[in-house]
Amino acid sequence: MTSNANSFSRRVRLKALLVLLLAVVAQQALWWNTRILFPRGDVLAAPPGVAEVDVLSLSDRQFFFRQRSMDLQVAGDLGGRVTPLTEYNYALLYRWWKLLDLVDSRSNYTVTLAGYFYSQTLNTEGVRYVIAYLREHTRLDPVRNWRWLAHAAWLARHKVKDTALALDVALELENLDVADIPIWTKQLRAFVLADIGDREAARDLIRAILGSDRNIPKEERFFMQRFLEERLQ
Amino acid sequence: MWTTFRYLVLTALRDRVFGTLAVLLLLVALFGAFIGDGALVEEPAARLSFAGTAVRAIFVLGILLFVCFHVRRTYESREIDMMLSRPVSRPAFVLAYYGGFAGLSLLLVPLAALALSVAGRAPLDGLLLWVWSLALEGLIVVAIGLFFALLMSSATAAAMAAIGFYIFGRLVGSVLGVLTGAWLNVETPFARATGFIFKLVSTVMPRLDLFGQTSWLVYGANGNLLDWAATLQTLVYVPLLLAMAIYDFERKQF
Repeated sequence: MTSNANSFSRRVRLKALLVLLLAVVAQQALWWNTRILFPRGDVLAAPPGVAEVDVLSLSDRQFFFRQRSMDLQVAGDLGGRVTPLTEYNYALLYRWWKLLDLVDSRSNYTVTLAGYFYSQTLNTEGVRYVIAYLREHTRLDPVRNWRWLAHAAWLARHKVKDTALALDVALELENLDVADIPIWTKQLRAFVLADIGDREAARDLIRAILGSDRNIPKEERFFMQRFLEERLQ
Repeated sequence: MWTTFRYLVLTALRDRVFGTLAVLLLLVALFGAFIGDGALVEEPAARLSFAGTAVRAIFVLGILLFVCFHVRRTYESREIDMMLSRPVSRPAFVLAYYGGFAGLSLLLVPLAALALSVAGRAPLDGLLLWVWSLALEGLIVVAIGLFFALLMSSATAAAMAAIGFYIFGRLVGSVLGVLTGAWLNVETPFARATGFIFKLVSTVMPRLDLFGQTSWLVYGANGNLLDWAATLQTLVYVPLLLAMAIYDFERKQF
């Protein structure tokens, strides 16, 4: 009786071992075939609608903002993948920046990411999206954000090499109604004009600023005079 | 009431609720801070936002699970029969139980605040508002858990129903937003029917989306030192849930 029970138990153990071995072999076969499959996905998914934001964040918008800002920071560079900036869809990125501005316009996260990171692309059309975004972000709160217009002007002049756009951005900066804004923001257009060789226009602009603003500090006035005499003559 | 509270504290200590939740709250706060550290700029804000969200989630889940499983266990071990054999009315029993659980949830609030403080330093007014809001949310969550635990016969089903109810409470504001916004232009019978149903359900839901905003931890309270929406919501909703729980409990046969 005991011998029969032992033999039965041995047979069961043998079968279990066989099943285990087969399962291990099957698992290895599966691994061999799936080891080259990675969760690729898109570099960047389309942004959700505004109504979806509350649903996705369980009504904590600040959490949504921080989480999606970080997603945007690492988009395309996860799971062992590195994506060159030229391969990003800047129209989609622009929509993301606009959405995140709707959720939290006080933060500098999105605008820093767009202005300093995504603007480094070699794709000049992409940089145009960055410039458009920086201009729109500035308009949300010019007192806090005016410096982003200066950055946009620099991007337009030196990255896109579109002088007309740079002048347009500089003019927008010049016309901002912000108290205590540095005087150089009024001169930026003159610097661009001087840079492209239109000294006469630059000269007129600097003279107009000198003539119209009585509150320019002495040292600034000195700098502007020297600029007129040494660079614009 | 005091005896029930002491009994619940003893069972919470027996189940290691405080220790487990303290460790969990600390771990998720640290994890939130770790994730937030990866931010390109404004790391302190990201740390607080992630840690605040995680701490709130663990706080709520911990309370819900403890309440649901505790109440169901008292049924299964027949402890409830023994307690009801005392000269105490059923409404008084439910109220005493609620008072005990509510006291426990209030004891957990400082633990949550301490865990959050590990992740970063929030503006004081924002932190106070967030803590106040978390305490009120705890009171509502206890009432939700107790209601479902008394209503349903399985701890798992009660916990899942309570969690689902809580999540819908967090979403009800955005659902109403959709119904009064884009949905207005959709004129199909299905849209009208679902709109009506959601609106009807929302009339008996708490607006939990008004509680515990992490923007308070990042930008401060902006002069809103007492979250009136959450405070009034608690004053109205806790009695409503308790009344429903008492109504159902009164009809139960033991």
